[in-house]
Amino acid sequence: MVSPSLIIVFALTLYPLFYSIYLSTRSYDLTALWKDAFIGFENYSHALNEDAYLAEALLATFKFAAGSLLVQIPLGLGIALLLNREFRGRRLVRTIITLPLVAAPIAIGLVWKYMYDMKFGIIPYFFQVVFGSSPHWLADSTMALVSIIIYDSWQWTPFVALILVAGLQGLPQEPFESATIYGASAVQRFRYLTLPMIRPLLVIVALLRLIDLLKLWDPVWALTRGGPGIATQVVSWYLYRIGFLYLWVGYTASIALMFLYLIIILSVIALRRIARL
Amino acid sequence: MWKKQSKLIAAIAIVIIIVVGIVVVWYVTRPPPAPRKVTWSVIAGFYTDAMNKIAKDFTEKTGIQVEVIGIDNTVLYEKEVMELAAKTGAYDVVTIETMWMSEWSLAHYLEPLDEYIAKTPKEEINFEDILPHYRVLLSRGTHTYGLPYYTFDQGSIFRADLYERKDIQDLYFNTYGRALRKPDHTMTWEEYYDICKFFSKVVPQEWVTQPGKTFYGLSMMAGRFGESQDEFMALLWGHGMDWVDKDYNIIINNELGVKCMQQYVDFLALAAPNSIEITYDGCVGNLRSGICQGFLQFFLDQWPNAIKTEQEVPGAKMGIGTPVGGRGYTGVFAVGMSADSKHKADAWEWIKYLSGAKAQKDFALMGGSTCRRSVLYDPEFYSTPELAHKYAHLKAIADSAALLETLPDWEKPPRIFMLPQSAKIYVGPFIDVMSLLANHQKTAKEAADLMADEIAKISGWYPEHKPPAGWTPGFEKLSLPVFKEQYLSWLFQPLCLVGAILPSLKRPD
Repeated sequence: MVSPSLIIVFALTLYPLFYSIYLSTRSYDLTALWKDAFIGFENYSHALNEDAYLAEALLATFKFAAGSLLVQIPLGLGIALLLNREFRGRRLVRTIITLPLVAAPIAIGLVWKYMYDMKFGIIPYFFQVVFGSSPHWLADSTMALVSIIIYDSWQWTPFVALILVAGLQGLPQEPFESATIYGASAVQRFRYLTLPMIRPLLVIVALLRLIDLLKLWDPVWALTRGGPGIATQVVSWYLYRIGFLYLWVGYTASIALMFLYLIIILSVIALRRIARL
Repeated sequence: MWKKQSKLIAAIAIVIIIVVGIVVVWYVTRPPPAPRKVTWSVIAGFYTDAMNKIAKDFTEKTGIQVEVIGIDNTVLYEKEVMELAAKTGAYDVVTIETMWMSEWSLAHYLEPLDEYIAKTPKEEINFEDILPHYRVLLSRGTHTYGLPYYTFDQGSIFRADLYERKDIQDLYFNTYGRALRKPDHTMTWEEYYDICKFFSKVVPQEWVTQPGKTFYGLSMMAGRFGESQDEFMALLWGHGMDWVDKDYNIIINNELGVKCMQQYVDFLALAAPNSIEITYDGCVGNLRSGICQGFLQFFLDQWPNAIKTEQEVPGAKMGIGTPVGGRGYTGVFAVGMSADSKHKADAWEWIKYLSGAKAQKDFALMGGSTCRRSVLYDPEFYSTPELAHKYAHLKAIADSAALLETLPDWEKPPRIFMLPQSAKIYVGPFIDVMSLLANHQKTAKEAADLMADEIAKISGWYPEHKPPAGWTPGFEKLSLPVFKEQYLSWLFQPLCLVGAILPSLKRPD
């Protein structure tokens, strides 16, 4: 009974992993004229010590992840608190906010590209009308990452909100009732009751989002292609470029594995947190 | 005994009848033989209708079907190279950009076409009819690997009506002390810069555009796409400069190379602001919106789109000519045969037909840009002023090609095409560095130095920035030292694997 599962796991997970490790130790370049050779840790060493693009890509990735989390977690919590209240049409609102989650990232990314367009995009138009001028959302190297953070937050804040709503609805009511009787304000109830009680869930949501954010690729493809310059060249985009355009198979495998290790560590932390709940 | 034998014979007879019956039923109901078919990977949306029409004509003539596999321009290289490297033979005929030729021919991805050309009657293929610089671009050593079917050589495309206006001419003369000339190969980059500056900064806006719009001297393809480097190459080659010198030493970061990079940034400062995020289609969009007079240099094949400005902008009249500085990007899409094609004879039939005189004329009539002299100079395209205007890009291509032929031999084709890893350089660091330059993340000098380093690294010439002694373009087999045996890779793996999966196996507390 177990054999088919083992075969599938081996074929789809372990074999590619083994093969990636093998490739990461070689100078394998798909179109190079030189002979493919074992080079030990050379790829890893080059990536860690000499690859300025990788360093920039890591920086862009962490900037993006930090920026997105700073927007998505507070905003998601705010929406969750609103949705945790009883009001007419609550179910409808909950359904509507899930819509971005079911949209295909690349298709919606292209729609956002047009929304950011300086000639006919609605976002620059809005800024022109309200503030008299608009930043170049995708062409300015300081704004491009912000543009992607806004797009990603639009798509994924509902995910944060939905998980937190579920957490809020599972909180016991007694402490809140007691606090109200003893005259605690809404802010105090949130600060001293709600926040500590949902903190483990907040950490899990943040970790899940972080893992996802580190793998960001689709919005970069749709909106900026890593540009302007290399301002939005995050690690996964850089991997795509060196893997599929430069065709540096060995080197790409080494960076991908290092990135995998990072995500595995984060996943282990997330799993431990979940197990403690 | 006899009875037993009769039973045996009857059984055998029944088996034979059944077998024969099955064979007869299979024969009668068998599917018709598979039609002869070749697959062709091609850029999606580039005259797709014209290509389908030509493919249909070809099928009617030969009975060979052509499956046109349209692939987005931005991923064509990677899609094709994956199939070629994996030796799948998924595409019998592949579209080749000139920059990819060295890499693909040296990697033996492409079938040399020499034998096929030799076996084909001379009048049928008329090889000499193809513009010579394309023949050179598509050959390596003694072999030809592709035949051209579409050129995107660069030249000047501009708003001729603005150049012909008396008030604008006078203002230009008063400002610069010389007459306003339409851009062509006799113009220096410095003069063209003045013209762009004049239209961006000097001409009153109300003279040249509608209220609410801002007019610019030019639009540029400075977005992070595969055309920014073509645009820069016009500037580079127009200065008589190249990425490598005649001995293939990398010289892009010399004084002239840095000057070209700086000029690129200077032009960009005059360009429509969205230049930083667009490519050729965005540039045509700007032209048709009536907000620019022209481009740095532009693909001549875009003329049929550019002249639509005349319908969309009141009073607009478009002009076209040879490239400023005398040399734009000389680019061509060719059709080559995958070395792993299982239908090589049929693939050759399609390559021959598509690049042949008849298909090329049909293609040109549908607006395409051909590479054959007989079509470029065909009087049918110039029989009336209207037709001559409609097909003006054909004349511009012919004129630009004639200019090229006046250059010394060693300059055709540019040597960047001959670098063994030219494709990788072209689709990778060229785009990265141009984007960094355009966005002021690198200065001209830094960008030039970075470009030189990247070319050297990809070519295996780092840090010397020159090829090893005795290297000959297009024929070498580079080799890096193999300092460990393969088995060490396998010994190394368990260590890495343990490192990779151990953390995930540990049970959470």
